Amino acid sequence: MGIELEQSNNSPSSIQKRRIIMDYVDLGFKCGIEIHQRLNTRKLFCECFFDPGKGETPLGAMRKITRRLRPVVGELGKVDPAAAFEALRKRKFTYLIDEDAVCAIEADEEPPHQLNVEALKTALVFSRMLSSRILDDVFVMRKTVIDGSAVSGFQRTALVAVNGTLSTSKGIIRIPTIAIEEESSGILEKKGDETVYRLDRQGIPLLEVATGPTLKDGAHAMEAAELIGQMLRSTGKVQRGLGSIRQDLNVSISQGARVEIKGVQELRLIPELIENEVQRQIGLLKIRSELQSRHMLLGEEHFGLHDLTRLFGNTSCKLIQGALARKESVFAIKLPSFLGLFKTQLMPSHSLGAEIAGYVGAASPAKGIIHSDEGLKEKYGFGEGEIAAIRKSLHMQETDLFILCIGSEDTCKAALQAAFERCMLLQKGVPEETRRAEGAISIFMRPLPGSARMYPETDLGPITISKEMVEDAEKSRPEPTEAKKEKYLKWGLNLQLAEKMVRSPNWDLFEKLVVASKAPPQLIAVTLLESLVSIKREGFATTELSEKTLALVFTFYSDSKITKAAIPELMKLLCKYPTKSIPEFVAQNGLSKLSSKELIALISNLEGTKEKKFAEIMRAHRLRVEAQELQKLLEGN
Amino acid sequence: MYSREIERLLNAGKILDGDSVEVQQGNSSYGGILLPRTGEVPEDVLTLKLDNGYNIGLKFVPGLKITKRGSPAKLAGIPRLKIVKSSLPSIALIISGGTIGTHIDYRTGGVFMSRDAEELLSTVPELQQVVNIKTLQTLFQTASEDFSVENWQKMAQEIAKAASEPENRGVIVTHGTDVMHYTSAAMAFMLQNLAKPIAIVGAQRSPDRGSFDGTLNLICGAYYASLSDVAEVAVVMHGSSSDEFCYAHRGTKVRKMHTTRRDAFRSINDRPLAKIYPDGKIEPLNPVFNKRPSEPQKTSADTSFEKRIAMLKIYPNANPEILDFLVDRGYRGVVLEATALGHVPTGESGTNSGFFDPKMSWLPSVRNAVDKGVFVAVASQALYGRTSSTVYRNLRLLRDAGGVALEDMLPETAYVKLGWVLAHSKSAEETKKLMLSNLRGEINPRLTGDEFLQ
Repeated sequence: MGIELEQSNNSPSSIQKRRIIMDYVDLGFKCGIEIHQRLNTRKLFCECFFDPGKGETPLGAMRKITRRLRPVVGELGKVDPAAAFEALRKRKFTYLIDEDAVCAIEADEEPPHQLNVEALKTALVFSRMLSSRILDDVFVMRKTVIDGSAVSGFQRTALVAVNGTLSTSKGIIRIPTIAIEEESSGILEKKGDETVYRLDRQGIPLLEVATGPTLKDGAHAMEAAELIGQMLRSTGKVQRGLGSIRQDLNVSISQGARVEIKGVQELRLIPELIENEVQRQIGLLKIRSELQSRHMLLGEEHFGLHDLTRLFGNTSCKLIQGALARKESVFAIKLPSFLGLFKTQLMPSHSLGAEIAGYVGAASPAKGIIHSDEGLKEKYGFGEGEIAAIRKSLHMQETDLFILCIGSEDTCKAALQAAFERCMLLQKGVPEETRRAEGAISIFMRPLPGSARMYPETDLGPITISKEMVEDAEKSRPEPTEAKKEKYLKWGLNLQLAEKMVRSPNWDLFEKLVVASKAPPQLIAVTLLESLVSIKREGFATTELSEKTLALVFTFYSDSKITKAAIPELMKLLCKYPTKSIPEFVAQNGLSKLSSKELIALISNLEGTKEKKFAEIMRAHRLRVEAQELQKLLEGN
Repeated sequence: MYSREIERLLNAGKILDGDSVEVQQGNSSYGGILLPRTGEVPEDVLTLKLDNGYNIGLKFVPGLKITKRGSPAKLAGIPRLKIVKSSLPSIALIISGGTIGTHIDYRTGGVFMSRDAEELLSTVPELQQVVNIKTLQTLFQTASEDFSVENWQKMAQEIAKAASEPENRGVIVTHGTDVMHYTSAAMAFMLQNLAKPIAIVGAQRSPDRGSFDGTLNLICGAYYASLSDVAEVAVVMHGSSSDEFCYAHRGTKVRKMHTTRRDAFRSINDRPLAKIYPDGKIEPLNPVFNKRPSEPQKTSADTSFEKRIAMLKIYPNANPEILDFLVDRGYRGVVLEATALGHVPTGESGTNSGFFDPKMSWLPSVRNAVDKGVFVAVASQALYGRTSSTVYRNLRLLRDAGGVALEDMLPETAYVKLGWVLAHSKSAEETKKLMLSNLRGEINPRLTGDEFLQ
């Protein structure tokens, strides 16, 4: 079946059209996902605890250390290629230390403590939930990482179980590995040669679950991600909130290559992401054939770096004006026979030009490139004469393309070298690489790391998993979803609420609140699933409401100290002032429920019909009166 | 040793460590490389490096099968870097061991000390962009906690030889961090007519990791040895937890003050000699130092050392019979790591709760030791600050009993100095005189206060 590559149309209907055209089976489509879920236990190798609910420590209040990481020899006697790539950048890494959540171990100043037992137990339980084979001895390994996100230059990881299975609507899929590893530090900013990380999240235990490359399509991948996510949440040991779970995709087509897409933010984007990646690979293959048909064999000998700074003395291009003022330069290279190729749309709003810019950005401090397939006059303010001069200096033919870089000489050299190398690779097809998800498309991040990346953690010994530990894990498996739903129905939740609550990340909060306060479960469920959501939408900071606070609110209700209607109002106030004492607050803000005595007094002080009195009292004291109670008192009168 | 069942299986299949194998255990199959057995796992467990890189342990169960599977990946040796001559300043590099000179067996995770200099150089290729390594020598590959006097003696001789080589601007010695400060003091006393900087350098993290701190230490040590005009033995290590700069600490005034931090080494009762940056900038910090002479000078090693010496820590309930024991065993010198200003229990401090047992006074034992010709030196376990033999009554009593308070000298430095001095003096008076003379900057007559806890 013919493969049509739409050059510029990114509308949903064209995506739909592409969906119909592409048959994943014919393409030899392979896809797997890898999920990293943070646990809510202490950190994996030290006694620190990262509290995501804690307010942000101001950056200025944090101590900092700076480090430079170097590539080291992998097991096979050579430096890991990804590591070598990073080393090229010779970057300086700054780490911010929040003493509430960081100790000497995160700073690589103390050897790791023994693996967190609670985290290990959670991994064992989850392994049994997927019917996987737990290993007899677990070894903590060091996985080389030198992009700075691991302070020691490696991430500690341990394989716990293998050969699990998961039932999906499209059949049973394999879960080859379940591992437990430490979270890396969080990137704060990247300024040229310096990258700043925060250490507070380094060391948080991550449960890593990987499927085999057998997912059938984007929807299947999304389903698998959802199922695994739900199962993880059902352990009750997972952290909640932004960044607590990460999904990475692996996609390939037979003529293409395995590409890893890291950091998928929203599950609903998975089908589109996968599709766009397939598109991108098909696009690259098309470019390869196009290059072949142009009889262009791009080799090292075609690389010619030209300093064109002198051509822009009188330029009206603001970008270059600024650069010249900073004593920077303009360098260029020519790509023979490449005319028009950079315009190729590989993904929606992502041309080959944008794609090459991704490699440039990863290999140098350059913020981007300018190329001749763009509207140089319209987009950048180049003059006709300047463009001609560029073409002349580069001895360009009609069918050639040029790439410009603006910056220091070193930056331009590194940038254009990277661009040229990537263009040479276009002749080979699709390179294996790691990309970063950005919405529904992805940007190049780094070459796919080689396998020479892991070696044993020499500071810790292996952990023997006894038969008892495995049996324990089997017995500790959490309640399956169906049983939970039955339980909620028994508690009085209607079917819709019960189904929603079972899938909600707050199911365990719900169960704890039911136990802690004596409020009706149905009310608690509605509050959590609906009222809190609308309060959040109104702009209130619902993350300020702790479990303790919510329990108190519901207890207040069940003690008849506030009415049902007052609950959302009280919560709004508590979002603003989370540390206020609830009894005080209720009294000060006129939220305390009126007693029957007070109601009777009110009734007797009013004139008119029962309906009139009802309306009057409800109008004046809406939040302090339960309509039913008032009605009953009025009847009784 | 593996369990019998596993031995049998491996022998039957002629399977050796390092072979690429397929292991069938129950319903699961595992492909990888068979790793050598370490004592860390039970003897009925096989260790495998899976194809995905993870190491795992598999217990023997009835029906376990192991089969060879193609030829294993050839594990290349540790890369080596040859020395390339350059026109940069020349130095001599002497290897004595330590974490800085270790390598890891990437398969098993075992840490080995068996590295030679060319392997070490491959982890710090930058070193040859800083100095020209004129001579390179592997003296020993010892974990420094096992160091003894003979190590010092051999080392001093080699350093003297290397330092006397006219083309060498200085010498770098790689060393384990555990006893680095003892070695730096030993070298300071043993080396005579030292005319060049000697940098003693180590690492707190292992070279297998990206965060290896030895790189910066070696580079700064190289700058110290080649560019500075301080003709002293110095420990050159990180000056902070960041990879920003190192300090060159005077070898007789430095101590390891943290088990694992990069900046564990601190100058005590002295400012560091210099602050050294990775770009070669050297900021002198201490106006008192032995300057590199303008005329060439031959450095020699005088390594005689009295080994029958000991250090004793003083604490509540410390029993002086320990000192008697040492004296009876023929020890010739003892450094008391006394409390605060240099106190030992005497029972004579003037205020007594009535609980002090007079037999626990150290005065008679000190007197006895001194009478028998044993030198009793007094330093402080507070480390910072100066000792005194006059400020309190019982300090004077200790002095009168023959104990000699050593100003602000570190206990460890005092121990090393005592060993060297005893081998070079013929009388107790001479020993006392030498111990109280400032031979190598081990005594700082001026404590300004800004050196405290830096």
